[in-house]
Amino acid sequence: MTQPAEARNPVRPKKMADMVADRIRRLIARGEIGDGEWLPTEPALMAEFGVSRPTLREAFRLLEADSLVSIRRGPPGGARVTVPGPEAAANQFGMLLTLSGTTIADLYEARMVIEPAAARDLAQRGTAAARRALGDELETIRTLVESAEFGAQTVRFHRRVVELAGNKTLATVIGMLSEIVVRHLARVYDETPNTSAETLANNRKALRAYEKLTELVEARDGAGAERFWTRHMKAARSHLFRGEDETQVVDLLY
Amino acid sequence: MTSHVTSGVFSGNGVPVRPKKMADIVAGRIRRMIARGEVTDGEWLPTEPALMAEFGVSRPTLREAFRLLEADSLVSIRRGPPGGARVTIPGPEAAANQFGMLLTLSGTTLADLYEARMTIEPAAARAIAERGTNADRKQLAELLEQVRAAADADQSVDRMIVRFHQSLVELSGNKTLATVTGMLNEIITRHIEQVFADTHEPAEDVAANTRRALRAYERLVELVDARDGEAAEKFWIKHMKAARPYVLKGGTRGATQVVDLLY
Repeated sequence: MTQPAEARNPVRPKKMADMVADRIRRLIARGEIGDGEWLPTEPALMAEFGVSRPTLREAFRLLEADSLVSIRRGPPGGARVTVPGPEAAANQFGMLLTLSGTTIADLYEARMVIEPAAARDLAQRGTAAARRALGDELETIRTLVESAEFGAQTVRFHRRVVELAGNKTLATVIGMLSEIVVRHLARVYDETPNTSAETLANNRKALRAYEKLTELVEARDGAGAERFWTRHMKAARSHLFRGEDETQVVDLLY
Repeated sequence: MTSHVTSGVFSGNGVPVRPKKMADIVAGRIRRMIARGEVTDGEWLPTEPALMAEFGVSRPTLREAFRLLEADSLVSIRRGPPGGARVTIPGPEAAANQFGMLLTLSGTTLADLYEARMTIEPAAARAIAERGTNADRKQLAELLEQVRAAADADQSVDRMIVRFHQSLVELSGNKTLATVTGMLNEIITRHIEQVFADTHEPAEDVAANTRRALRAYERLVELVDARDGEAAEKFWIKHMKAARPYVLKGGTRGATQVVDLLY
């Protein structure tokens, strides 16, 4: 704090590595390099962008921090494109939530705005394929009702309802929120034995709710699906939090 | 809904697990200090020698960590002596880049993004009407006056309109949705600026649209003051549907992809 004052957001020329990272980011955004593909070799990229190896590697590191490439170190080295899922943005998004003191209860309430509306849309406007896909999810989760994986699958089922409803923006949002919820569940239930009779009974109850939602979606009953999903999420809330709803996101991610 | 859950369950996209590099670990430690409020907005981190000693790392490693934090908009770096990094608490626009990349990669259109807002905002209008404090409702009324003042002075109201919509969600009290809306509005703002930079609309059309928006905000403020949540929600859906063609206009209308705005 002994440093002299300076402009709050000083404009500075972009560093070479930032510019190179932007160029590669653009190639990925425009689909010119697809998921899993290797970028050209380091010498080729150094020649193309007219930069040194350290600058290129710095650009790789920035892209790696965004989960856009994975770097193979040592000869022959290089970077491969890894198209990220919403979990990649969950870190940065989670930091914003953390800094504004957001609680898990707040996050759940946000889901309660988005998910019932998605259930309605899926029932009303979903394609036959989308509705069938929800049925497939139900069948998958049914086989796991006694499994330790069930909790993760419930998060997935909720997420799929939004994805299948067809709005990509909300699907991305729910993907990020799901990642945070998964981390929360992992922490809360880490110490809890997962084969207790109580857990099993709860799993069965959740499964019945998914069956009911799938029925309403198949019947194309949008209003019914929305109402039911709101009710289910309210009922599940008390159970999910176990009095920890003041848990801040900060406690989960950092 | 209870069961044992392993973290990273959705991370099965073939990313190889590799040991964390030292710079990642150092960046993680500093990120944690920021998250916990141990260093706050505008504060300088300790000097490089102090941090090198604390973390037991070399200067290049520390600088790599600074670069990673800078890429997340969490610090701004002053180069050259004495150098150092200062904490800059990011707004939603920081995450808009990364979030925007995700939307880009899934081929999301502006129409899709607008529809997402149409899920979030009417619910927010309802929440303020039903559960908002007097202060919240007063603040919404003040925002209306600001839009009106700008319109009366023939100033551009586009940014204030985005702000009104953003504040609606912020005042509803849900921080998660406020952050989401902040990111979406950042992307919408870039679109509006792009479209309106290269279209020269007749002034009377702009004025007519502004007046229509103002009337809608007046009506919303009335409904919120009357604590009529259901009517506020319904009205806001109607308003957003009516405003959609205006917001999504431009050569390709709602089919514009997020990629065209950001990359």
